[in-house]
Amino acid sequence: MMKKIFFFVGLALFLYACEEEGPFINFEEDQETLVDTTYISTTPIAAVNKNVLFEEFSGVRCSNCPLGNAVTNDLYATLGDRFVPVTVHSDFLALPYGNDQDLRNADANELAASLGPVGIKPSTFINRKIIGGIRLQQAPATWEGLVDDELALASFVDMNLEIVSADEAERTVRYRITLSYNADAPSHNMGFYLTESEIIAEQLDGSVKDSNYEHEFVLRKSITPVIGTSVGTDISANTVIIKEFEIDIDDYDSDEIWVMNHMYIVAFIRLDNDDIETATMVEIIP
Amino acid sequence: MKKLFTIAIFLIAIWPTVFAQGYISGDLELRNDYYVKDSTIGASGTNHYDDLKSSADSWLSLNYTNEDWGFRTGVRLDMFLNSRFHNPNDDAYTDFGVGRWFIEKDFHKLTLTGGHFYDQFGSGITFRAFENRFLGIDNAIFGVRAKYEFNDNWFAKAFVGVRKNRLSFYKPIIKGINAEGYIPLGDKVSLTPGAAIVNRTIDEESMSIIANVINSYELADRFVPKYNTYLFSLYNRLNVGNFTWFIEGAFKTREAINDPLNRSVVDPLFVVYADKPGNIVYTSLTYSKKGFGITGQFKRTDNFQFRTSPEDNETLINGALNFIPPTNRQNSLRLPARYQPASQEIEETAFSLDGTFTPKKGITFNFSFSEIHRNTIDLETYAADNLFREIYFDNEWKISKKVKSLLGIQFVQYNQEFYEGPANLPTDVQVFSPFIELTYKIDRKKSIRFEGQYQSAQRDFGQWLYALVEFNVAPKFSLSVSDMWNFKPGPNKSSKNEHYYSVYTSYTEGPHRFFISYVRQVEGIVCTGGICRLEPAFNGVRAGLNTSF
Repeated sequence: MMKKIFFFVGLALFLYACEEEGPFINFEEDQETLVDTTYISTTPIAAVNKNVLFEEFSGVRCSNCPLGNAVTNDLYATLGDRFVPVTVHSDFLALPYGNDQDLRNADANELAASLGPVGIKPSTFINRKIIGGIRLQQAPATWEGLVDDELALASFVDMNLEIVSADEAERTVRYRITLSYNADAPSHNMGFYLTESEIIAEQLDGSVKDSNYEHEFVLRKSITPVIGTSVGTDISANTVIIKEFEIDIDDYDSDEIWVMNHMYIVAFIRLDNDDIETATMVEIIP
Repeated sequence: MKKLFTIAIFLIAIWPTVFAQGYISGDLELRNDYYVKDSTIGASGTNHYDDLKSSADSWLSLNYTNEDWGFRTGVRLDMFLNSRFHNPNDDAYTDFGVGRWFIEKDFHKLTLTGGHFYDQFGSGITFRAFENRFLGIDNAIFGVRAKYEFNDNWFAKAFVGVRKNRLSFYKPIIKGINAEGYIPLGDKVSLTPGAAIVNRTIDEESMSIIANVINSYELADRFVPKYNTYLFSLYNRLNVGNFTWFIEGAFKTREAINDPLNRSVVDPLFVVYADKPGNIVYTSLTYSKKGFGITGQFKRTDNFQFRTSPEDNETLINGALNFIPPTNRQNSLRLPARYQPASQEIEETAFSLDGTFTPKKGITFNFSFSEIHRNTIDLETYAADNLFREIYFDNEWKISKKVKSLLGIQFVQYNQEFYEGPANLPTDVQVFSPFIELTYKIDRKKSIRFEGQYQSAQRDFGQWLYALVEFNVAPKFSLSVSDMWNFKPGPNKSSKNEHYYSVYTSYTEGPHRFFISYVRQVEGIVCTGGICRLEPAFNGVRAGLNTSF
């Protein structure tokens, strides 16, 4: 009898012993929602193609990353609004030189950890899709072709992101997102990033350190969780959703290092399988 | 090709040897519905009535048992063609394939099972895998199970697997272990103790969806959901002479549970997850002797939801991994069975008292009293807070060798909004149902049976009359005609005074039974053993075949 008791107690302890880390839950304050409107359009909403959220993993100590950055900048110059670049400085090869500002942040690491691992740079997620069995695309020479393939696909939603007002003195931004659904949509999330360009920080380029290297589209902060927050589960065709938010940049940048004139807001739609449906970007101060 | 030929020769060679030592058994159940649109009773608006017009469901089982080898195996072909069997309110569902297969072998005291299996621990509170075709439930576990008998009185069993979902599987993984024994303590005293541990691990995809929803909550309501939840239970049956006392207590570690009772607080369309542990206690005490029996039951449930996942598509009868026994009486007569409470997972305090008394041969009195409350009971508002109350009394009287009767009365108080969902339903439907059943035996084989029932449910459908006449020629033939007449609809119902009639006939030849019926059926809650589902209105023809071999 005692053996049986010990057996069950032991088993219970074994089952209970493993403490879990659990999924990512965001316990930080989200952006403030000022407007939240939904209506059904009386005229059919036209079909649109996807835009591409291009999350390029980079690092200041990554000797080949300037090659990746160059491809990204060329794609942006060619494709314009349909291409939404975000340069993600996760920990790997990204420790800053000297007194340079640190381009790394917790959101970059969260993205790399949750969909990575990211052990090679330069590399990129193209709409976070698994293409050819891999999500992390590592050869910059292939990026343009993969982006073109993605741009040719239809999206069930069109995103229009506008700056309603930006107060440089107070460092606050009010922005509006309009989601226009041309087809019934599966369950999905919407996410927002803050990115910044024209950041000068030393970069290893081949075997040379370039102390005047200009970093573009650097992920500063994920305003929502990197997987976004739920928009809904049963949104039908011709639905239009309008939301307005306001953020105080100082809530995220207490040292006031970020330059509002060089910053963008990025918005994206994420499906439950982690794929990005489409994305868009707007300069805070054009 | 050579290999295939060798295998074929081998199988042909051993076939007579294998099957000479065992036996094959099986059964077939076939149901066929034909839909006739009748918008006056709500039998319309689905693709069955508009376009498809018919559906068929069938289950064909074939089992092989070899007792000498301690070997059992079986396969069941399930077929659902334009089916509305699993969810009558949904669009047609079509699929067919192997609904169950298993192999089982005894190795001395050890029995190993692989494939789909049904099982339960204790009263089913921590784990129950079962099939109830009437409600569209097939909760088989697909995995492996081992059972070891230490001796004649003690055994332990353990399993790991996934729960069946129609012809596929839910992704979360279920593990469990259970030990049970029998301890005789003299001629009239014995114990049957048991213990069980069950673990469920949610899959990444489901957890991603749950985490997304939680991330959309206000900061104060967010929590980190658990992948793993564990259930522990202890139970015992004590027999002392004419008394039997069963008690089971179970505890569940905290996890994200889907609390439908709180939906209206936030958003009626939005899943409300709460991070809570759960517990339950269920007990029954029975005294039984010749001519007299009485049973008292008590149950308290607190956040004891245990499903494959708390996601919104895994509610009601979907994804359930356990079974919480009901304490109220399970009625079978047509009108008295209309208001049945489903066992609650989130909170329920329930008790009942059932008795039977036979003062002399041929006369039996049955009574039942049961109540169900939420867990917080305020004595000042006790009656108003009641979720369900039933007072039932009947008398069975064998008047002569040819005539027997059943005469009874039922009173029910039913919180329809709580049990059926929409917020505008009444919270205190008062139901009064007297009934009579008479059976006249014409000769040794022929008999005629009559049922007459009345029901008053003013805050729901209003007043009903029900009558049935059934003619039987045992054991082959049965014919019945019935009508359920809503002769005075309640003020909340827009329906006219509708008749819901049916004609049913069946023919039985040995193990084969064929039936065909015309049915005009009102919508209502259908329950079996505390598990309920809303059955929509139906109008049409039903035919079927049951056979075994």
